[in-house]
Amino acid sequence: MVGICSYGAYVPLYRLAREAMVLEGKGGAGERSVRGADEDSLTMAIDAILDCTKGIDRTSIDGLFTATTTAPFAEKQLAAMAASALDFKENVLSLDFNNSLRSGLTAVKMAADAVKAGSAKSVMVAATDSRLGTPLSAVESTSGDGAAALLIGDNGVAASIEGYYTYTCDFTDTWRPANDQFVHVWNDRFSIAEGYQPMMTKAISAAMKAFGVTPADITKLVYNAQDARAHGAVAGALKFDAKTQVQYPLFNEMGNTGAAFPVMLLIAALEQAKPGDTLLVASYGDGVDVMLLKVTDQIEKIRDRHGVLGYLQSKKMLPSYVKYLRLRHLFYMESTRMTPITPGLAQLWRERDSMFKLHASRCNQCDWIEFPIRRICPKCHSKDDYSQDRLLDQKVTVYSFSTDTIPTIPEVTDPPLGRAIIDFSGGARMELEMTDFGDIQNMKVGQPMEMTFRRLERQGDVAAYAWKCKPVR
Amino acid sequence: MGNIKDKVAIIGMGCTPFGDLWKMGVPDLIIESAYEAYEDAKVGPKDIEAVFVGNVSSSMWTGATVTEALQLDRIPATRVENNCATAAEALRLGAFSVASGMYETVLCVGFEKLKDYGSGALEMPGSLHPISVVGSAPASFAKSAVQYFEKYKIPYDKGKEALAKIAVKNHFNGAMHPKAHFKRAITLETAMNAPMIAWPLGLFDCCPVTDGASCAIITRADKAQSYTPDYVLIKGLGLAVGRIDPFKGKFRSDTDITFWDETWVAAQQAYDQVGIKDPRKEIGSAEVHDCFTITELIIYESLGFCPRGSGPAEVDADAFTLKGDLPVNTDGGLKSFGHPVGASGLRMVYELYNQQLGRAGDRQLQNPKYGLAHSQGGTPGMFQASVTIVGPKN
Repeated sequence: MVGICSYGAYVPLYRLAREAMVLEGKGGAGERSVRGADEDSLTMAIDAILDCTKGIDRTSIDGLFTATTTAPFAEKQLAAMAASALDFKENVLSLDFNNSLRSGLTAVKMAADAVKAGSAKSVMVAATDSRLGTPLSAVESTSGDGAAALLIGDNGVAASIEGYYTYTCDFTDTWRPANDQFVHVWNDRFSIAEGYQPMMTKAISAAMKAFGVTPADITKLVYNAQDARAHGAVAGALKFDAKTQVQYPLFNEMGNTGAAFPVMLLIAALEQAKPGDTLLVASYGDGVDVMLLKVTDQIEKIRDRHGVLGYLQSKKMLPSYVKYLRLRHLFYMESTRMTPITPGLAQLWRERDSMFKLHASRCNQCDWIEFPIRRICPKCHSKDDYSQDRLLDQKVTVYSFSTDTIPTIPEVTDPPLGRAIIDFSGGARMELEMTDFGDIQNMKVGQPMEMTFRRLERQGDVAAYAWKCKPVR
Repeated sequence: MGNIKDKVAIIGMGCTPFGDLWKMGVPDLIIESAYEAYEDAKVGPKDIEAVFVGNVSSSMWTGATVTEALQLDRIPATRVENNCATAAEALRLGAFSVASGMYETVLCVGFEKLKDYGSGALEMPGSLHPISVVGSAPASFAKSAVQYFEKYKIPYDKGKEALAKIAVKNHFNGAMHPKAHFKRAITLETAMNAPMIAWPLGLFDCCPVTDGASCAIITRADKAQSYTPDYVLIKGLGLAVGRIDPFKGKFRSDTDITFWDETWVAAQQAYDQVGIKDPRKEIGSAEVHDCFTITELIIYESLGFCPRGSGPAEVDADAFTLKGDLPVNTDGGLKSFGHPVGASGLRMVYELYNQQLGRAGDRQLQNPKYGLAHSQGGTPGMFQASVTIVGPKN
């Protein structure tokens, strides 16, 4: 049996009320998720994988696939960067599935095929997106930011994959040219009526026929759409009961999270699913992929994930549309003039075990633990005699903290810049940047923190990411 | 470890006004301070046998910045750098070169020109590692305040008040010094209600970024009288450098940011040389590295002036004001006098020297006893700490 062995998700802390998304008048209903100024598709994918791998040894995973339409690099693999930060094993199979809103579920299919073929025991699939609509457009308003992660394997399957159907169609309703940061859409009176609705009903019908199931066999139909109006047109046409049989699409709580959206809705369904439930998942974009899933009793063992619904519980409302524009770097802010800092790539490479994989040295003679890795033990001076401890999954508390008003950095979500010294449960102490902390006066020495991989601006075009800490959500 | 006590005399000192010196370049700063010292020591350029130059970031290379400015031809010149302890380091190495008998008359100069470039606060741009944060010095020290309040159970408002009182004291003293960057007294309310710079440190908890230079002319103690009857003697020199590179984001797992260990060690070295058993009683005044008010508060404890955790009570009792039993920062300190990084250590000795020689004007102490200068570079957990003790010739 091959299927989903674990799930995890990430919804950024920030939300914007749609009624604020106007220059004058009143905007739409509900709210959308907004990534922080130091987040992007890579960082959100890493947070989702962290959620998905709670209690799971990441070095046991044979593959890492990422799916997105908003990779921060046009040339450089997202999956390899995530594998480095998350300390996957060196011979992990890494691959990016880019450019289609359907690519998340397609990646799940490829992962399942690899497991079935025996070339991998388990594969991590992360779908992530942070799409940009032009200011004041419907795309901007209906979109959300987020990421999803599924561990596909054949051991401890919580939802088995019972069937897969794919349909490819070069229909253009939404697109983004390679040299443009904004998503564009065609008139939806055409694109829903002639594209989305007929394609979805055709593909899902054909899939159910191929799987030998009828709507009566399905507990929940889970599918994405560009907005609530398009979404509402599908279930009825397929003779599903819209009230009881359709996964609630979270448009008013999160918004359309692009390539991550169908996978996040699947995770939301799994969070509420019972053993024995049957889920039919359809993912739209340049065609349709359909997958049939059967939930097993293993689902009860992975209930401790934040998931989509868990992360939606903790949020911070953005005060204004201008703030949203700033977080998306659409509102120009001049950085403080400071001495430029560009670390050499050679140095980053040499020190990758500490700086990206978050390893500390543990002295083999006296057990002293220190971050970053020290060749000479600070305690007993033994030389080059240490093992490496992984800090990433240890518990973290804050030893002290402050804020810094001096530098103005566009990549700081809520200035001033946060800084902290943190303690890992294994004994290492580290000074680093702090993000998503809200009001500094509410922070307490000793409170629990967690690690999050985030963007840094100050290094220009060099791979600008580092681990930061944030209060536990 | 040997002993430097009474081997080296300071026979002349100079110091530029500190401040936003838009009209002065680096050569001007060096010339102004050096010629004041020449006149004071009654020497000229031809008497200088060697130069020790302290500078952190305003001169790219070598001691030639000083030999060029002063047109000192083809003499030994060495540039040293030890962060905020740089000027103290120039004096320390100059003293050793004199004590060894190698040179008789040595010029020790510290200078910094910060205002032409950079932001309104001292940056810490050398954070080469991406995990180490970009930012400014205030936030590093602010974390010490947060942890100090937590450790000693000091409510936020009481903690802020103790820090504000230190700023008020230093501004009061600095207002009486004609060369200080900020010659203005402030009220407790002003200090406590100032804009936040790095929570919980407000504007008046932070020293400024300043231009300036200071220098000393030193000679062997047995030769001093032949130059001038007015001189002071170096009594002790301590230096302790932490085991952490401050600019590499490296933090020890056992770092305690509520006490300055390096300062404690440097002070013990100097006290041993002088034979000081009870610094609170034997030191007449101290010029300490008050880059932030929390830094000065913890310095009281780290120099052994009072037990750990008792700093706020001593501040409440006005122990370190001009009228207290151990005046600290009689010239206003970094807070009011300003902080040109590579010059501050010698500026501190300049104030002690003037106190010893009875030239401190309205700030003059009745009995200056031993004077202690303390410089501390780096950030909590990773300091370069220097302690210089001077005293009278007899």
